[in-house]
Parts: sequence; C-alpha cells; structure tokens
Amino acid sequence: MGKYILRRLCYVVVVLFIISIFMFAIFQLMPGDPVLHYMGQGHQDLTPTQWQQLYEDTVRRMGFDRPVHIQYTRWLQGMLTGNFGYSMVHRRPVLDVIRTPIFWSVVLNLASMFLIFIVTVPLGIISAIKRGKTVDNGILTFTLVGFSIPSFTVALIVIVIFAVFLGWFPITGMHSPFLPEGQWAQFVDRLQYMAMPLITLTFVGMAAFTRYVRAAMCDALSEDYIRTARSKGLKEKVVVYSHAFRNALIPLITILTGWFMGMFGGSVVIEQLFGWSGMGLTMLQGIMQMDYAIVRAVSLFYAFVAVIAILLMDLAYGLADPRVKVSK
Amino acid sequence: MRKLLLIVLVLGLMGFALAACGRDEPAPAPDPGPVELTPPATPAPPVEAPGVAEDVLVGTPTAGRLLAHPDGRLFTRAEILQITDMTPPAGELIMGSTTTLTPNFISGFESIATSQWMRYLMHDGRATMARDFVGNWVANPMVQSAPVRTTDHPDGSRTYTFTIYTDNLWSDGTPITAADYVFGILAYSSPQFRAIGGAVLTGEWLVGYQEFLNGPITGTSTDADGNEVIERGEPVRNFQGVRMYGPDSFSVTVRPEALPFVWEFLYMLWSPTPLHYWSNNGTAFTITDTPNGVTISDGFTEEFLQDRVNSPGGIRFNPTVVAGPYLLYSFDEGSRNAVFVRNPNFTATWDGFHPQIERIAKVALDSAIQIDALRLGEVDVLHGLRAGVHINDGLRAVEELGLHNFISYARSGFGFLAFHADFGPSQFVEVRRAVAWLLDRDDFARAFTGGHGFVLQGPYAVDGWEFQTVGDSLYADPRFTHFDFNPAMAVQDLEAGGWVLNSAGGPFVMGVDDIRYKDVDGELMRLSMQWGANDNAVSDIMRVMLIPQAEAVGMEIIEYLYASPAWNGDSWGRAPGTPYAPGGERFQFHHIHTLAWNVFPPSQHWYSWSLYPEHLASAAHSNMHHGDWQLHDLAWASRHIDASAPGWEEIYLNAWLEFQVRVNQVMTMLTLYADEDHDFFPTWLGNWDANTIWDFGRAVQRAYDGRTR
Repeated sequence: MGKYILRRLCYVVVVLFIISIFMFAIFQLMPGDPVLHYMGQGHQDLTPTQWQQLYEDTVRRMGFDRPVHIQYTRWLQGMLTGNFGYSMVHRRPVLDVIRTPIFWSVVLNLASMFLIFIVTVPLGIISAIKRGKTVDNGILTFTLVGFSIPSFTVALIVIVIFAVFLGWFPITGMHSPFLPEGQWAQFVDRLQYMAMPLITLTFVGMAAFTRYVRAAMCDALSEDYIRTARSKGLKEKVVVYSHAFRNALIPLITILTGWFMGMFGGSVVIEQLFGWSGMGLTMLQGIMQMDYAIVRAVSLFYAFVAVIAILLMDLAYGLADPRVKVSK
Repeated sequence: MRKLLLIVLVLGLMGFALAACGRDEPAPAPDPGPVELTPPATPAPPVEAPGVAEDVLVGTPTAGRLLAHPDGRLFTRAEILQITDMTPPAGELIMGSTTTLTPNFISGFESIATSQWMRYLMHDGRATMARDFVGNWVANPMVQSAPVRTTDHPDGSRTYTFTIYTDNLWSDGTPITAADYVFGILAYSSPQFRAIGGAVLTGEWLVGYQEFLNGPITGTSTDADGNEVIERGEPVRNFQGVRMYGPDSFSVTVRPEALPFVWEFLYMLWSPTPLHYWSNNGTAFTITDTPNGVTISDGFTEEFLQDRVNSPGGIRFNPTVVAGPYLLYSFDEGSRNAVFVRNPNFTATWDGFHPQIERIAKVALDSAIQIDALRLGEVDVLHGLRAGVHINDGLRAVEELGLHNFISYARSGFGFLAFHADFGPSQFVEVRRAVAWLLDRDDFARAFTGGHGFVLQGPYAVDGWEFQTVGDSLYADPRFTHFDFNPAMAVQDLEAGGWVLNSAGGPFVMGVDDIRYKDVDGELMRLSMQWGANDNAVSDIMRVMLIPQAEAVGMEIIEYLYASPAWNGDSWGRAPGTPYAPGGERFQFHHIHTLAWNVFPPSQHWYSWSLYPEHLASAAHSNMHHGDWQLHDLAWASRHIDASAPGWEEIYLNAWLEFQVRVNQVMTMLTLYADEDHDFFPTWLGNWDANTIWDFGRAVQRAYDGRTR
C-alpha cells in the first residue's frame, strides 16, 4: 500500500508539472496587457518618454523582461515555496487575497456536503427499497424538480420563502453589518446568514445525489448475492446496509470525489446572489479583471486538489470494495 | 392518473418558481415609473461658473453651502463651530451597493466610486478647499485662517502661500499642521510611493516635481530610432516647489507653463496626510524646510513604505489615524463589508455640520435583490441607482410600503459610441455621421435607462455651467447637427462620401446589393466595421437597434463580444503587449466601441482631446484617434484663460461652444444617454440630499437618524 501511494504521488508530481506548463502557457497567450493593468490610470500627464520608462520599469518589476522559461521557473518556484504571486488588481500577494474566500467556500461546501449526505443517503436507500411505490415516486418527483430548476431559480425561491414570506433569515451577506457582542451571538449571527445559501446548495445537490444513491442501491439490490443473503434469512436491515449499501458505495465515492474537488471552487451564482464572498466570485473577478496571478495560482491549486482527490478516491475504492487491490 | 398528477405537480412547482422570479406581491401593481424619457435636456436658468464660490451663501447650516453673515462676510472657523449643532451622534445607517468594496482606505491605489465614498468618510473635511453641493470649490473656512497669498515670479511661476488653523485634530488627538499638508504632497509625488504601486500625480504641476519623482535631467541622447531620450539622474531628496514656514504655513510654486489656468483655484487644493503616523512618531523619517524646498530624510524608503503602508494591516488597509468624520471600525475580508464609527476628534464640516450618525456600514448586494434588501430593511440607503428595472422596482417599494423616500438627479456623465477615426471606413466622417443618423437615440435611451435618462447631443454635463449657460446657443447654432433618427440622411451622407459602389465596382443599388463600397486610392473599401462589444445592456440594445438599420442602408457592423471591459480595452486602445509609442503602430481592429465618461465640474476636457504627445496615452486619444488639430486647439483654448481678467466667462464659453460644435462636426463620438440617478432611503433618515457630485460620502455627514430623536 505504501509503495502504491508513493508511486501515485510520483505520478501526481509529473501530472502537476505538465499541468503547470499548460496553465502557464494558456495565461501567457491570453489577450490584454497585464502591465497596463498594473500601471493603472493616472499617468496621462507623463511625457511619452516618461510613460515608456514607467512601462519598462513595470515590465521589469513584474519580471516580464525575462525569457518565458525563466518566468515559468520563477513562477513554479514561487508556487512550490508558498509564494503564489502578486495580484495586480488587489495589489496584494495572491495568498492574502484568496485565503478568506477559500475558507468560506470550504465552510459552506463542507456544511452542505454534510447535510446532503445525511439526508440523501437514507432518502436514496428508502427510494430504492420502495421502488415503484408512492414513496419512491414522490422522491423521484421531488428530485426531478430539484434537478430541473437552475440553482439561480432555487436561490430566488429560497429567498422568497425564507426571507420575504417567513422573514427567518437575512437576504444577503455573511454576517450582520453591525456584529452583535459576544462570540456565541456572533456565531449564531453567522449561522443565520449562512442558512439560505446552505439551503440552496443542499437542495440543488440533494436532488442529484439522491438519484445517484437510489440508482446505485437499485443495482446492488438486484444482484444475486442480495437474493442469497435474503434467502439465508438475514434481516432486511443487514441485507440493505451491510451488503447492498457497501456495494453501492463505489459509484458514490466517485461522485463524492467530484464534490471534494468542487468544495474549494465555490459557486458563482450562489455566492453572487447571497453576497457570500467565496472562491467562485474571486475566480470570476480574477478572470474578468485579467488578474491572471490569481487565476493561474488558483487553477494550479485546483489541479493539485483534483489529483489528490483522485488518489484518495482510488484508495477509498479499496476500502469500500476488497476486490479492488490498490497495492497493485 | 398517476402520470397526470405528476405533471400537474411539476407544472405547479415550476409555476411557483417562475412566480417567485417575478415579484413578491400577489397582484402586480401598476408601474409608477415613467414610461417616457425625462424631458430632453434643455438648458435651464444659468448656474454659477465654476470657481471659488462665494455667492451660494446661507446663514444657517445647509448641506454644501458656504456660511455667511447677512452682510456677505464669510463665517470664520470659530463662528462655524459656534452655530454647529454638536449633539453627540446616535443611530446607525447601512448603505448597500452592488460594488464590492476593496480594502484601499487611503487614496492612490484605485478610483472606484464606492471606495471613494468610503474614503471621504475618513479623509474628507480638512483639505484647503472643499467642493460644494453643486460642484464649485470653496476655500475651506475650517482650515484656512487667512486667504491664500499669491506671489508671481519673474520666470512666470506663481507661489501660493497658505495659512492654516492648527486647532484641527487628527483622530488620535494630534494637531493637524502644515507639515501634514507638505508631507501629503511629498508622499503622493514620490518614487517610493510609486514603487509600492501608488499613483503619484499630486504635485505634478509644481516646480521640482520631475526632479523629485524621476530625477534631474543630466543630458539627452538619441535612441536607435532617432528619438530624443532624456537622461535623468537619481531622484533628488528636496521638492523645490514646496516650502514649510512653520506649523501654520506652507507654500507651493506652480511651473510657468501651467499658467494661466482657467480653474486656477485647483492649484490651491491640498490635503493633509498624518506625518507622525506614517513616520511612526518621527522615528522613521522627518521633513525639513530648506531654501531649496522641503526635504525628506533617509528613512522614507520603499522598504519602509512597503512595511508601514502596504503590508497586511498597514496604513493602506487599516488607517487608524484620519482627519475625516469617521474611523474605519472593521473590514470583513469575507463579506467585504465595512463599518465606520464617528471620529471623536472631528468637530465640524466646512458648512457647519457635526456628523450625526454614530455608525455607518457599507454592505455588498447583488443587483437582483437590492430592492428586496431595501424592502426588508436589511439596507437603509441605495445611492446613485441606475437602470430602469431597478429604479422602477424601487419606486414601487416607495409607493407600496411608505417606508422610504427617493430623490433623483442627472448623472454628470454619459455613455457614448466611440469611433476609431484613423483607419477603415470609420476614418471617414460621412460614415460616422451615417451611424449617428441610423441610431434612434431616443428609443435607445428609453430602453437603456427605463425612462430615467436623457439623450445628449455632445460631451457635456447636463447640469454643468457651460451647457446651462450657452446650451441654447449651441443647439441653435446652424453648424450644429441634431442627429435624430433618419435613415434617409444616412444614405445621403454615405453617397456624399463616395460609398456608391458595389463589390464589383458598379453602382450600388439599394435592395439589390448588400454592402456599399468606396474607391479609396484605386482600391475598393468595403463598408464593414468591427464593433468591440462588451457583455452589457448597451450591447444588447445596440444589437437590435443599430445593426439591422445599418444593414438596410448597405453598411455591415460585425460584433466582437468580450466578456469583460478589461479584455476589450487593450485590444481597442493598443496592441496587446506592445509599449506605448505616440504615432507608432497600434492595434487597428475595432472601428466602434461603447464607453462611458464622467464629466465632473469644473470641466477639464482639454486633456481628453489633446494631441500633445504627453497626453496621447489618455483615454480619448487611445479610444478615438481623432487626429483633429482644430479640435485640439479649441479644447486647449478653454484652459489657457486667466479667470481673474474681466470677461473671461465669455471667452471661455465661446471657446467651449466652438469646441462642442467641432466635436459635433468631427463626430468621433456619438453621445447616447445620461442616466437619471436615484437614491432610495428610509423616511427616518433626516436631511438626506445628494447628487452625482455631492455623493454618499458627503451627504451622510450631514444626515441624521430620525429614530434617535
């Protein structure tokens, strides 16, 4: 097992190296002039010579006067040593800019993943067990609706119900503008603001995941070994949870891996609408404002998360299904 | 049956979803918003010329008006403090904005309007001049203890000597002195501040600025292309044009070539920067006056500023010593919301107001839910709201709930269509005029502003002194063309311009041939233009209103859509990655572009239209490349006017009128619309008055929370 992990980690390094080259090349080819963006406005009164001098100074300061391979090496070196670069729009180190959005994206996504998991697994199992019955049809209808409505619309419905009609939760933001006194009060305040994006994300994710669980369980429940287990007189609970569910886990692990990768990404629509400052918005703004230091660094970070997640997924397969030999 | 139930259920849920997307009341109320455009912007009774206004005078504190006695004598600092209501501030206010706040809490790093409003809260009030409600500048009676003394020198330069009160305090209780004003000029003109990414234009017109920022000229040489290259030494430590005579007096000297200047009072506008705070109570660096200007000591280095100003928690992100009425209390990196609390050491504004609201919060909102947030009381004020759909939503909220008031005012700015006037079909004025005839701008403005806007005929501010004074004459001038929607006139202009051929070189026949051609130096030029569009509402309307009309007269407009203006700007103005070179190679691709400009008074339009090499990097040239020296001369004629000479207004206004006529003739820009901005605020908010110039940052200093009274 240890050898296998080591070998996979070596692959990770190679994959990341290749991705980093692509990533660097893509952003080198993007349109626009990042030097101009760094310089900003307010230089209109410089003479052309002064302007040119300033431009060239800026090019030097940003390291763009070096050959491309040197620029790449420096960038990669920085990434490996924790220096993710400098945001030209925010005029701050990239790490300073993304630290908070990543944290809040992870908080929101972790919470929603947890909720989705504890709701959808039982729901999917019940649906599979009661296949074709009213409960199953009800769940299927519910998930079809959730699956069909875009997250933007779900968010608006959530706002209308919980903020406008019921008045339970605030409509936008991450906490009260004037934070209440005391840590507990502040915690509750943040929970209130988190509620609606969380409900939206959970509802949107629930529909899909319930269907995945149901499909996986339906497949598992129709296997011969389930019939054997039942014929042996095992309790239905044991049949479902120990035999069927464990086998249904494999496809679910794949989906969970995708979620794990998405956890750091955030959701542009949800974040924009609820004023939740996460990575989705930060990345979008980075792209729109040509803040390529942020976009490049975060993209590479996502690639890193993805390859690690895939490694974890493979390891999890082995744990879920003994037939999968991860050591080979 | 089961399937039918399922379908009914799904349709029901989707119907609910769609209803939820619409509005939140059970029965749609009639739209109270205007369906017609606000009456065309025609001149109203004349307003005052920009200047040091002393004629908008009042006897009791009125937001943005200078206080004076019945006999016209202006109030002194002591008298202002005497009549200012010093009731301790109470209550709170939440301002919502769709613009996310960036944590640049000192100037020099960005110019986003919302951030600027927040900076006013912290830094406004102790500059030597103040902008009044209508945009005029007044000598700040809370700062200047004596009128500015001007001294002319034989070389043509002019010195302005200021005498200030030293009774005003920084938020930490330290007196604001002349050293702070001097330090402001030095810091914001220094190579060290530029090195940490700051803008350094503060002292640009002063003697010694170039030497202080870029170093003295040591010689000239010629580069490989034959251009003269100015060689400079290391930047000098002393700023020759700035002197300090004690804690209550300092002076600045303006370069001869910067005089005369019609808005000369702008040379008298200087703001303080807390020297003791930046220099860590004088332990890092000091400022000393010498006969050769003020000098700054060794400690003022890029490394020091990087640490003191630019590091996380540094002065740029968390200034704890300010001169203005509010202090930054908190900025949340996650939500990007900020809270400000009153500065206990701020006494009164120049117009006699002690800030009355204890706490102010700025929160970010998505435009889709901003009016809902207002309805639910999650935000109190929406300032400068644009776009008809949101304004009409807001007006409905005002009418239905009765909890809010609103005000509206013309935006000091406009949106326009820019033409690249130096290549392709758009280099010909007839083509540009044809486009102007083909766009129904009334319809355009109505669609874009939802009825809350104006159609402009030129690059001016509707409320500006110039237009209000000579707008009638401009509109009546026989040389001035009103480009109302008229395809026949477009055809006439195109034919007059020689666009009468088809692709085979034969005569163009409407309805038979698709595209017009013109013989240009023996070659056929196709009447086809590239439009560099941004993904916005203007483009959406242009797409349906202009392109089909152009096609109908044999003109092709091809849209290139960019996701973000940041992507578009470079490809429009210059080749990506190429350095700026006046008259050099440029990226000639798009012919048409949509932009918006602000035109805050006093107008300094000469920069925008200048063809001087030092101004060629400015927005107007890089966007239009008009190349018209007559336009350039007319624009600059307005600047070089001595406003102290009798009859200067007539000279200026005449130059302005001629300039507008020329813009209209050259037609490198087609002005499209000016918004009518709206503020929505709760009924309990007292004394709220604002406009584009008197923005949130200034208005809120004079408002009060009526719930606390």
